[in-house]
Amino acid sequence: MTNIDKQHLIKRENLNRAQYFRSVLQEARRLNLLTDSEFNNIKMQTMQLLARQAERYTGGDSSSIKEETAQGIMQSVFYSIDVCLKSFPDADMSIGELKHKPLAELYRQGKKLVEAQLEYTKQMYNEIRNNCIATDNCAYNDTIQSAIPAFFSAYDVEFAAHDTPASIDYPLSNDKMELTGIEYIHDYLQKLLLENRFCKNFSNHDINSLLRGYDVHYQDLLINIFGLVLTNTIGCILAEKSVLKLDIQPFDKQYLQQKLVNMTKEQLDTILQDASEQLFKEFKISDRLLQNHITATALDFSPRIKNALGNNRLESVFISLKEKHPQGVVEFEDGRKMDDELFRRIADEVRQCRYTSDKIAIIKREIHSMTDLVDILEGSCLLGDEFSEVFQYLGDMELAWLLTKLPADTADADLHYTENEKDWHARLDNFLKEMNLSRRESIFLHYKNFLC
Amino acid sequence: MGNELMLLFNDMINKPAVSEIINCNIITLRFGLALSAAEALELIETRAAALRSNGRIEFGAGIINKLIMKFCDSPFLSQHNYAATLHDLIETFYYFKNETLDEISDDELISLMKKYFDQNCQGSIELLQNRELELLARNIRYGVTDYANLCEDAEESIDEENYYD
Repeated sequence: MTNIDKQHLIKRENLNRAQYFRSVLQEARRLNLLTDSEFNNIKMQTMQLLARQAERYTGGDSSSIKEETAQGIMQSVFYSIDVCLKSFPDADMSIGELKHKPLAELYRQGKKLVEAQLEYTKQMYNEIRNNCIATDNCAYNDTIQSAIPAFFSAYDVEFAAHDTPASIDYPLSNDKMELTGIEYIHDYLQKLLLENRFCKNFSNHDINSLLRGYDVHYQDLLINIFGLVLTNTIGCILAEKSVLKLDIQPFDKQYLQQKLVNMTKEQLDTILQDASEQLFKEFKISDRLLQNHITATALDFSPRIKNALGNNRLESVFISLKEKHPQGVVEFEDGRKMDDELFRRIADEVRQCRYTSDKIAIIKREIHSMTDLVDILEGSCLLGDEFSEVFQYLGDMELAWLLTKLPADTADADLHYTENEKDWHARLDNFLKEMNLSRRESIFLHYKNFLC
Repeated sequence: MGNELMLLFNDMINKPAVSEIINCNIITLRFGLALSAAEALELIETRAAALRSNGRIEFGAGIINKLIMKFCDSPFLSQHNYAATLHDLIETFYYFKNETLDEISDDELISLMKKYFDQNCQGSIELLQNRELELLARNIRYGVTDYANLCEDAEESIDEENYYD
């Protein structure tokens, strides 16, 4: 028996989800589903609705408002109408409602839906906050702890429903950036909840070791934790290992390289699809949304894996876990930092010295903390070769500590550091390059311990 | 439908009727002031131009009638400068709605304009625009509580040079 699908006059694919009301009207006009008088009637009702909202906005105190304000209010009105129209099963029904119901009524219904979605999203947020991954990644923590609550307190359903007053840094694996307002936050939190739920299958220790394996500075990176965890999980399935291990060792990568290198893109997609389905069984994932999210993310890996196989660089996709303290713990305790007034006096004294030996003598005598030493390096106190003479006098441990202050990514250095900072970073770098190999290795060993 | 709607707005909604302005003559005639139908039409055009040039959209009944009713008892208005002054007042009003960041209501701004026009400016529209209302706008922007008090020695008056120190 063949299925009979209802044919719609307005095709969903011709509509813009972000400007639904306007695109429904445009399509209806194009297909002659609205007469001129009906269209003008809707337009007039829009203006009356806008006038009423503007009056509410000024509280009746002002008969006029700025154009930008009016545009903001109008977008907010359109947003609520969009939400109402999108709640109907198809666009043809939306046109029927627009023809027969007052626009103000549709706006009121839309606003109620927005308010309901806001309440539901708040509940979802509470669930996320109570079950988030314990990690040091700043973007993840800041987004959950600060950005989302800031959105809830700043969101204005009445006059700025279309606005998304939140600074969300943490990237999702599949983010619908075209949505705005509460629809965006709802979609974002829904996916974050799914991602967290999946990551809860692994211990926080394993997840953090994976992130450390990706980059030792993972705390400051804008990375999607779920994406990395899922990649390794799928890697484990392909390498026929237990999925709970999460770890892909170099010999696993060699095996995967041999297994996958000759596959076409279609074969790779199929194998990733099969791996996703095996994953659903292993973790008993029955939630359709999570299944779709995993499959969509897994298929996104395909070009990356293909590329990595071509370059024999599978380690850039599948990551080996890295423990926190592989070479023992180094605990650094800085000396007492001097007060600002005294520091200024000493810095002036150093600047006025004619000979480098005098400068070094003052630094030796007065500076007892690394923080003060960095301030001296950045404080225009030393010139030219004087830097290397000061570095000469420092021990391996002190140099290793200074090395931790150097930017990890030199591309960012121009943006985030002052000229004085860049100057001493470059001089320390040169100093280390000119040093003998054995001492340099010892300094780098201390440096690695500091990073752990 | 976005910007197009904005452009249509001032023309389609709440356009003040000439008859409403002419009706004010019943009251203003007591002070020897009256507007002809042609003058009323010109005032409506000035309002539309002022709204456009100041990037504003009007939703209410408009402020022409309010300005007429407030200013008609001013000792500095007579029939020969009545219409010209009203044109200037309409432009001034919308300009200072923007300059005062919409912080004060229409009625308050009109009352202050009238007070300064009659007292501090002695009927000079130039002084009203360039001295008194500029000072008022500055006080509002800098968050002075007693912003309407424009005395030079007002306690809270702002020294702009030191404001950011």
